[in-house]
Amino acid sequence: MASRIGFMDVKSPVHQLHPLTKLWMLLTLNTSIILYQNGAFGLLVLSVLVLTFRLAKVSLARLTRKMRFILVFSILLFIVQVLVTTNGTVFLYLIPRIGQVGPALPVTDYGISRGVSIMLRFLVIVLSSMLFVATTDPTLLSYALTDIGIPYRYAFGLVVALRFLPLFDQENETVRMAQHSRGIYPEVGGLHKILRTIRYTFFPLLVSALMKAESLSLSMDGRGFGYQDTRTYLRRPTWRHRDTAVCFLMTMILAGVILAILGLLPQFLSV
Amino acid sequence: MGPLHTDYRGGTVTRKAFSNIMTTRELVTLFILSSLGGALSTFVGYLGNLINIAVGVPFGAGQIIAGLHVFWIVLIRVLVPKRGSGAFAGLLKGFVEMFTGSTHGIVIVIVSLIQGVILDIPSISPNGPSSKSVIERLNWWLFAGLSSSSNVIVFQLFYFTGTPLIYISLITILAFCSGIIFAGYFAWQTLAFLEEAGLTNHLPAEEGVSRSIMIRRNLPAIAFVTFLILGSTYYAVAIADVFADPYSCEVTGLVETPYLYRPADFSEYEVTIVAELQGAYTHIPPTNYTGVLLSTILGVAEPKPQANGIQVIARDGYSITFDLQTVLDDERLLLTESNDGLWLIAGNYEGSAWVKQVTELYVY
Repeated sequence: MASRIGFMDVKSPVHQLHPLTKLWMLLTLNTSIILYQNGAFGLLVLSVLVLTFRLAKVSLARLTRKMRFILVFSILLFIVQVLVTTNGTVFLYLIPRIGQVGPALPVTDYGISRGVSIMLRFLVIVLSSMLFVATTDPTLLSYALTDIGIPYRYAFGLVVALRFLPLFDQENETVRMAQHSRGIYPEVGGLHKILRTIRYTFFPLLVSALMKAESLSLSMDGRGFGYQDTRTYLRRPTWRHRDTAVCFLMTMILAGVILAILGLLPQFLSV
Repeated sequence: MGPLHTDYRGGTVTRKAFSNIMTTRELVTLFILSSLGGALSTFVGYLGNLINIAVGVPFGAGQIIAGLHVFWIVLIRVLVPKRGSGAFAGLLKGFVEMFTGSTHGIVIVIVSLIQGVILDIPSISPNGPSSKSVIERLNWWLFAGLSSSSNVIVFQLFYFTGTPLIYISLITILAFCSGIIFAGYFAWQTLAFLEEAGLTNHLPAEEGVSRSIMIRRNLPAIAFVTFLILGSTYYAVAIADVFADPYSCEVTGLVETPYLYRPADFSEYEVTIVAELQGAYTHIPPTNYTGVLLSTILGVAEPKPQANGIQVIARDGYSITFDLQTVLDDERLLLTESNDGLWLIAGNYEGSAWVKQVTELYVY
């Protein structure tokens, strides 16, 4: 559980945006790319996204292993779409005619355009989520959620959940070492062994988690958590004019996409 | 430490209405288990993706461990037996997964939320499983399976289109079975373990119960689940046309009488033409094609006076448009039955106008 992408605390224009602005950006961008299946639009959004990574001073090179996996997965998505799409103008056959056999598995223009569109959609969804995670302080996000009417007792969940992650990392490592010292190693040969391995890993962590829940809830009750409707905060995110501008821009993009889908956008404005 | 949800613990100072929905202790349990579940699910997700890549498919094979994602929500749903706890746990777990680097980004939040919502369906016993009731156990396993298999459908909506239905059905069943094993059976074992450890009191300890009695008790549940799995498999494999008959297509749009075209209903109108497919890379030499002319099919639907075009739409989303009057005059444009559905044979057009697996004729 140790190597994971998380919030990167650097000073950048993207980091300084309000967490709700970034959440709105994430939602509108993903909704747009899902609704409007167009390769050119996907490429445009992806290019802007990559530039935003630079603007946010978040290096994708740091995430080499993860990026490799994402790229491999996106290529697989592309290949599947090409293989399952047989309509359109055929460019070539992956299995050419040899004697009486073939041709089979045609690669068509429509299959390629659909494959590219789906691949770009996947990349935009994943990369925009990564950017959101890397530039948004989850604690501030949690506090910001209370601004839109979510009771702080529930919004606090995100803070607690993320705060406990390093602890679980540590616990997991302790459990693993304790098991190794007793000669227990993970086994995956067959369902029974998989279940046993999972049981050995999950049960100690589960007991530990429940005990932590007990002590934390006692402590929170002791401090009067939930007694008042509102609470005070040491840090609060600030809403600025640029947040309004960004939200307006993203809303316009989403509206434009909807108009384009409905065929109401002038041709010269369509991507 | 006492049982989690039945004991009233003195000293709780909450007084507001929403505090009665979930106590602090229940909330914290939900938060922490969601955190643990989210963190472990990220790695279960990686494992699933690695299984997919190892097998050489972009998705599907990893569904063998899909139930492990739902396991945590099931556990939370039982330990925090309040309305909405499943959905809340699913949402929070999804956010944790996203923040810990899930390769699916925000989609994982939606997947996890839907899994939680399914587990909140009231037919699940609000008090969790009881060894005394077979029906409760059946519900438990069934909804765990459904919740687990829902991820296949959601991922389909986001990332895949046109994937063969049979493949989707099979991996849905795989995810369903995984849900039953990991989120049903294994979650059951876990709750029994927690009970033995004195952490909860949901399941009575079954020490002293002989193995044969245990098996006998579980027989109805096992039989029911087996019936469901076999039935679903048969439904998907043998009666695939229940989902969509590949040898039919809808005639819709600006027509007086929209209907479902089936070649069998038009056998007396069949004509045979000789057509040659000439594409840049494809060439099918002159061949006899027997089918029903598009003009005949559209004639039955009676296009409205304002209609001026027709869109032929295929199962994979491909579509091509023709001028309506040209189609009505064309005697070399027909729908024929092929081995994978209806094909549009466009004798007077180039290869890209020949459409496979036609599902809809839309008049506009």
